[in-house]
Amino acid sequence: MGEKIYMKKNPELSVGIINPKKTFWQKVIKQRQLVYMSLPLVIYIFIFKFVPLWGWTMAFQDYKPAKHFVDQNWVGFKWFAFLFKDKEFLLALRNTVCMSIISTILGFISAILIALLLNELKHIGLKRIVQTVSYLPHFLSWVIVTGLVSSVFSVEDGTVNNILSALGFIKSPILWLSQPKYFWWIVGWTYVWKEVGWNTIVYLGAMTAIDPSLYEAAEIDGAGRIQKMVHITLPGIRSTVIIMMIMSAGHILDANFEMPFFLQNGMIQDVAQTIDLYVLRYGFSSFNYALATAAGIFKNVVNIAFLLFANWIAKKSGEERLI
Amino acid sequence: MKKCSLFVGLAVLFIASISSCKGKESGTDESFDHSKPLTISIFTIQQKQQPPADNKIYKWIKEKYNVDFTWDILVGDKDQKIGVLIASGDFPDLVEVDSTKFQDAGALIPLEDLIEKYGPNIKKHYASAWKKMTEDDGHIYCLPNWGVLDGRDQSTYYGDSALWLQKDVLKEFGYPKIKTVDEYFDLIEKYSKKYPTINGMPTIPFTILTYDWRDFCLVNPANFCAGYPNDGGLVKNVDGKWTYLNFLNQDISKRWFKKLCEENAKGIIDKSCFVDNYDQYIAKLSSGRVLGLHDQKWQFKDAMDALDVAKMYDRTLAPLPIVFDDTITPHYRNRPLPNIRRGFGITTKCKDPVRIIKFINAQLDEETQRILHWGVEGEDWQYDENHHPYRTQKQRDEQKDASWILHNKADLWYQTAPKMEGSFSDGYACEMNYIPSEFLADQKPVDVELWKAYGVSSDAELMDKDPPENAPWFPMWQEVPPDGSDAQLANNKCQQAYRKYLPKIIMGKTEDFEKNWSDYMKALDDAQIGKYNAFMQEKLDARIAKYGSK
Repeated sequence: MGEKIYMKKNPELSVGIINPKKTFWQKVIKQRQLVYMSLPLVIYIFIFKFVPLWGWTMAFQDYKPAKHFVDQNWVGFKWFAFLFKDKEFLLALRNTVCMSIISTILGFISAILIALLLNELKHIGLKRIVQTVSYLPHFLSWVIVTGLVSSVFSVEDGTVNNILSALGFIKSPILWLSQPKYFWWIVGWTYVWKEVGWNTIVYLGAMTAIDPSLYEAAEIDGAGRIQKMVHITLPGIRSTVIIMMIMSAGHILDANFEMPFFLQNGMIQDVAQTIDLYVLRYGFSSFNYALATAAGIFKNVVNIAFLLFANWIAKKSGEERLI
Repeated sequence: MKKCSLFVGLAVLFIASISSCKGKESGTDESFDHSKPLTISIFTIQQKQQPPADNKIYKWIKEKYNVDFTWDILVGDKDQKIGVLIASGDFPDLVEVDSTKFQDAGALIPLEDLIEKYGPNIKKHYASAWKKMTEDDGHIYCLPNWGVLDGRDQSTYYGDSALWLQKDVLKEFGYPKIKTVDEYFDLIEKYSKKYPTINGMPTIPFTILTYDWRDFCLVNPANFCAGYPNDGGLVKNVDGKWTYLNFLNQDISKRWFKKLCEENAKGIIDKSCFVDNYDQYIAKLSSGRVLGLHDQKWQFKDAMDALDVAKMYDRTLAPLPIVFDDTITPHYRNRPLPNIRRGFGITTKCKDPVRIIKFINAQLDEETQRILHWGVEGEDWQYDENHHPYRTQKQRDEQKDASWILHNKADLWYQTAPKMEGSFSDGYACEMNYIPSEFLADQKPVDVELWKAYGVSSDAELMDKDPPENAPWFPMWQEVPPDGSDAQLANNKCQQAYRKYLPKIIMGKTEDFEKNWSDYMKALDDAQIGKYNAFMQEKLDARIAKYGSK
């Protein structure tokens, strides 16, 4: 409909011989209703997402809250340099990346796997039950989930210790939450438990869009179940998977905040401290806003870089992409 | 034009009349003139209800002094509200100060000259704290609400640090006199061997609160066991110079943690305490299974209340002044400290500060103080035939009833205003609950029995009957490194270090102790503990220069 009017009123466009600058403004005027409609959103994003970026200037100052902007002492990249000399920050960086990668990979594999299996279920009732049960934990808040985790892994009457000692694997209960080597995996698997059902929804949706005639054709050609899954279902949802991957690449430094925050203790602080916790510790407990802002900026820059990188890879390999 | 000038003229007259009111002083005489009414507007951070119009004590104040109050009671976030008050500049006559915010904003007037001139009672009351109340600019801006004593300290409550032990343990072994760390743990070992479960759950012989900022319970015990007061560090006379030492890397800490490591090998230390959070700690204590711990009472009072409600009185904990060995004198209990920078300040918007100072001065006399503390004679308390004050059980219960208090006590004023503490001139404690007969009448049998066995009459006396005078610099923990300073960073890193290493040291094998300890010492050095100590030394020197060293 819109296109029709467009063509009619701007016959010169269809021949493509006109100054492009003029076209842009003509386009804006022609589509002014759309512009009006999107204006509130643009204003919203500007006020709430761009104006606060002004605060980033703190990272380049010895910021003192009561002082006026012009009176602040500018220090250039001092705080960034401090960050990269601070062993604690480098540890936090490593932990964030590792936890994030573990959670992302486990999350992807488990969600796709369960979506594939659910898709094969012929019994609709059972399928619904499994789906509902598996995405229920998504609606629990992380505070509750960490509470569950700490009691499941507790030394005193914790489920895991009880099961393992009943099966004879261990003699005395293990302090799961005090051992650095277990922590990332506990975080990763808890993420899977909480989010797997929710994550499958999008893949199951994508699978319904696959043309059934493909399956029929494959059956006629004598393909088995596994072959159909590998050669039809998986390629059918490939573009969705790629989009989801690009989106999660932008969160590589956003490792879950709540789990490490609630489960941290002295003995595992070397593996549990994340960039967010570092920012909280220095920014809000010690009021070193400048250092915290610098860490936050670093995090965002890396996230954006990853997002663009993943997008670029997808573009190069001729896949779907986000931008 | 004519109209206009008339208007201006009227306005000038009006302003003149206002300012003349403002300038009026009620004479240089100290006594409070109650022929004219005075309404004092007050901002308070106590989150309590507005007193009703028929409140007994406020009515009494109105009759005696012709003074009443209008309260601006804090709702919601304190710092936000104070920020708004400061930004608007619209202050009441008095504000309840709890930080330097009002002072920094120039909202408070200096009080020292007013007190010298019109407040002899105030001056007398605060004489002992005068130097500490004086800010660096030489002025006093705030009248501390608590902790300034007249007469003798008779408090019965003990809420500070101690090694606490379950009352049933003491009872089981016939209230033995225990003084040292070894005796303390011996008792715990014997009891837990005899009773491996309590109420069907495993006994927890000794637990430690290690969560977040509350983890001072992990590091503080060594300080107290070595006989130092709650100073936040050791202040020692080294070659004639008062020196600040950080107990974290001193031998006393090594001694304490070595003991804990040995006890852990015997299964005495609660393993899960290093991963538990504060709620889990309270939950464990509320179950009545914990025999011993080091803490300050206010942190686990909820758990003790829960045990009382469950009628498991024997499972509550008693404080003990435990030290490393017999040669050390315990110094757990200290004398009350003036609550500096907490209390009323007079704002720049107050119209007649002189009258308010005169009123505060007048209400510091014994008659008014007795009314504020004890209540009205014959209604809230009475004398027996020996002229000894007492309350009936009904009157005692009323003192705990919030809605009764709202109608019958001037709580909002009483909590923040300058008040007598300690004892009245007749020797009775200002706080009626601190009069021994009144106090004991309100206690549980298990406590009375325990105190009797040790020949004392309260938890406070159990810890120390007569604590020594506080050192002039005490307590050094009031000094906190400024935000963003190297000292703060060092302190932060030290905290990280002990959180990581101490659990390892305690739970490690006894033969690895030396190695683990030296790793920890190295970590503290890497954290630049010296920078923090240097800051504290500087502050200690400043305090000694200001208050003296004796």
